[in-house]
Order: sequence, then structure tokens, then C-alpha cells
Amino acid sequence: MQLEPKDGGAPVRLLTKIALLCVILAADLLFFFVLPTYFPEIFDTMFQMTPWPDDAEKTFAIFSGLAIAVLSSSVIVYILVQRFRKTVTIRG
Amino acid sequence: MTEKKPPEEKAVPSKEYYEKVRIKSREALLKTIPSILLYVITAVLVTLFGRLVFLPIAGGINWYGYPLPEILNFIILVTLLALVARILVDVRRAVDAIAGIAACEIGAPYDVSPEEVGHYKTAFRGIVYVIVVSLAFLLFADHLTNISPGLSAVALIGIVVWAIYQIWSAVRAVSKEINRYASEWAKKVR
Repeated sequence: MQLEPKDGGAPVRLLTKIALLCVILAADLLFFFVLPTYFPEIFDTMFQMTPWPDDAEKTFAIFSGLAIAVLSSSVIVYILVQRFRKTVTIRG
Repeated sequence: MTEKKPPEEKAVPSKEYYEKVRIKSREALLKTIPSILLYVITAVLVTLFGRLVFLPIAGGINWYGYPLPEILNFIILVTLLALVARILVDVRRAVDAIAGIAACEIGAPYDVSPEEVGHYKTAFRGIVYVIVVSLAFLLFADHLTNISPGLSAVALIGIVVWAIYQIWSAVRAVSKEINRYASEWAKKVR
């Protein structure tokens, strides 16, 4: 159920969606930006622990990381733009 | 004996056409601006994530013998191309809408002809396209250079030639409008 606040603010479900996407984006950037920059040993050890060749693993991880980052941030922007458009249409 | 022809009546622009242009332009603008905003932000995010986060960690990795940074560059370039193509389609719609609104606002009330709207469209399209393509080139330049340094130079030369043509057609469209206004003003003065 979507809870619409009386003051015309964003519904609770929308805020949950944005929060969830922000968490996914933050985790993705934490893994692919903070970990290789500040703790490169931990980043490399994580890939060495798995049985597959490191390059293949890293390639797959980088592709999926980029896709997740772009998709999650685009969906956040999409939700915000749709909300903004709705507000402008209602007030205009 | 030849009969004197009656003077040609000037087609009176209808109020309906004026209202139609106004309403359609406003609707189109409301639809396209959020879409442009979304695609521009996505393009910027793809560039930023790619360049600052994923390209540095891809350094030194080979995928089936191919260097991963070049593959990533190619993927980012294709994504940006798709996004810019979509942005250009929306920008065209938005510019047409702005031209319609400008024709309604700048001209006398209810005195808007399809020709006038066409001139404004050409002028606005020319100027906005040059700005958008120049900005898009800034997004592409590094990726093109990473693939081959010559690609960037060829693209820049092409953009410069095309931009000159666009600006020339925009100026021509504006000068036609100025001519029209000037001749109308001259008629009133006489």
C-alpha cells in the first residue's frame, strides 16, 4: 500500500525505494572505489580466495559493478525527475 | 479591355492555429525536459563512474588477451552514443516547442504563421544543436583518444564544419524574420 502524506510530500514507498537504491549504490562504490584505493590487499585477497582465474573474476566484477552503479543511480534520478514533474504539473 | 484584378487578400492567421501551437508547445516542453534531464544525468554518471572508478581498477587486466580498459572504453562510448542520440531526439522536440512558444510570445497576439514558426525552429535548432554536440564531444573526446588519437581530431574537424553550417542556417532564418518585421514596420510608417 502506498501511504500518501497529507502535506503533498513524497509517499513512504517512494522514499523506501530511493533509500534502498542509495544503499545498493553506496555498497557498490564502497567495494569498487574505497576498497581498491585504500585497502588494495583486501581487494586482491578477495579475488584470490575464489577458484577461478583472477582476471576473469575481476572482469566480471567490474562489468557488473559498472552496470549496478549506472542502473541504480539512473533509477534514483528517474524517480526524482518523475516526482518533480508530477509536482510541477499539479502546481502548474 | 482587361479587368482590373482585385488586390490579393492577405491570409489572416487564425486564432485556432495560435492556440494550437501554444498548447502543443507547452505540453511537449513538459514532456521532454524531464526526459532530457534524466538522460543528461545518466550520461554524466556513466562518464564519471567509468573514468573515476572502474577504468582505474581495470588497469593491467586482460580479458581473453584483450586489455580490459579498452573494452570498457568501448562499452562506455557505445552507451554514451546511445544516450546522446536519445538526448538529441528529445532536444529537437524541446527546441521545436520553445520555437512555438517564442513565435507566440514575440509576434503580435494571434499573428503567428507556420512560416514564422518554421524560421524560429531553424534558428533555435541550429544554436541548441551546436551547444549540445559541443558538450557531447567533451564527453567523448577522452574515450575517442583512448581508442585512437586520430579519431578525436577527425570528429572535431567534422563538428566544426557542421557547426558553421548550422550557425549559417540559423542566421539566415533569423534574418528572414527580421526582414519580415522590417517590411511590416515600413508599411506602417508609410
